[in-house]
Amino acid sequence: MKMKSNLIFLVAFFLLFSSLSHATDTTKVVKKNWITPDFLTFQYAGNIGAYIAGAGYNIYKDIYNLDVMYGFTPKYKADATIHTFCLMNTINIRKFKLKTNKTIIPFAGLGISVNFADGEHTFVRLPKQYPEGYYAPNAIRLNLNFGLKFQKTLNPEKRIKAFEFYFLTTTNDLYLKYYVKYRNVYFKDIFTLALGVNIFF
Amino acid sequence: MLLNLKKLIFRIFNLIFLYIIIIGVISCENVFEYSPYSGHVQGKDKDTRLTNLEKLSIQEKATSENKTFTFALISDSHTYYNDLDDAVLAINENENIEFVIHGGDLTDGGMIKEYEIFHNIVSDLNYPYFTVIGNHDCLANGLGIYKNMYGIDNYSFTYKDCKFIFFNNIIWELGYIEPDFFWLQSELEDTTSYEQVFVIAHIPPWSDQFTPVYSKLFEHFILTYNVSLSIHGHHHDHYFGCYFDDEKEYLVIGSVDKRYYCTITVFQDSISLDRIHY
Repeated sequence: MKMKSNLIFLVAFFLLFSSLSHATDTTKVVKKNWITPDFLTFQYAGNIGAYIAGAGYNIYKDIYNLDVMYGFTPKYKADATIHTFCLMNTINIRKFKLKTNKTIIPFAGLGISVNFADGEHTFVRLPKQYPEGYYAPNAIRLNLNFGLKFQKTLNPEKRIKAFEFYFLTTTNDLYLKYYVKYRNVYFKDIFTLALGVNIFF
Repeated sequence: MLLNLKKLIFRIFNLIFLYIIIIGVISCENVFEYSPYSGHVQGKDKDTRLTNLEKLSIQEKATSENKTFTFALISDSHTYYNDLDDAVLAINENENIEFVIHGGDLTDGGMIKEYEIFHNIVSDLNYPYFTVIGNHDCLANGLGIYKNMYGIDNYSFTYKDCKFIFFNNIIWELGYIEPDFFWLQSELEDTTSYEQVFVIAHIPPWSDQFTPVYSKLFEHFILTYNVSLSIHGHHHDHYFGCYFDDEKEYLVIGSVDKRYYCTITVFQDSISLDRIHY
């Protein structure tokens, strides 16, 4: 578990430094390699951790983004230490231009997350002490988001080209199941809020 | 015309989308949640057992002249929330009940949201209720949540000269740590003065998690001490009988989706079991 956390941090730092290490000379046009993210994400809460960092990739025409995220929930926040790894697919639904460099973007996201908490009680593969099929893996969640981004584009020759502040409301497959199965679980019981920022460079 | 229709559909979609956002944001009860695997219990949900024991004490004083009493039993509610809701309504209609016992597996995955939904449903009971921990309740961070929400996993109380012993006999989910049979023995050693003694433990002693040694040990305790009935859950199907072919009776309460609850009426020198369908 500690090894996996260290590996994720190493990958995150590699991505960050590889993106910051080129294009410092503004007279040259530098082609990004495929692993260099198009933006970095920092998020607070949202059922994938208390503090989340991610590397984002613009896959298709500023419409479809893929975010590789790691969320950390310290023990003092949740009475348990939780590590979450999430692949978030985001669709930017529409762009409403306010001014030349300011845009509001509603978006929807569907992600898959893997969660590790203390001990062996959260698992992807059934631990050996149980007979086969005793429990289904319980560490994997599907996350559904709806949100709004407030984007401001900057000078394209600067290092940071744009940033987006966003808020989203999110739920997951488990909570949706409760909502569908149980008559007294309401919409408000299954959604929660998150805040974040995307930095484009 | 087709273009106008497309624009209209798009505008309606945008409005519905914004509506979901606004409703989601302004009606979130817990504004920020960090993880569905959180072990954090809200202040208002903590130490529920203490509150129930206080209610039980008040009730015992109020009905002290009548030594005969009835309590209800349900078990294995998992995420059968609608059935659990109906069970609560049905038990509330029965004015003879004095408290309720849940035989374990309050949740399906030990998740905080499941504990909260369970807690909200059973809080509507007109009577105090008491739980024993189940194997599903120990998944994720469930054990910690259970202890914060209810209290210590092994406990007992007395009511009208009867003793109720709640024993955590979960083995696999707790890393094969031996159940605290020393504690159970110490609780059983002083039972000679009680009219009736009930042991409530989620896993039946002949079940999957019990080795032959643990099974024999549990059987020995029930046989040796003044135990009237050993009560369990876990199997989801009802059972009542002398499983080990000795004089001691064992009850397995069916899961709530079976749409019945059990009642036990305690008389001075006997007990009576009933099943009430709803």
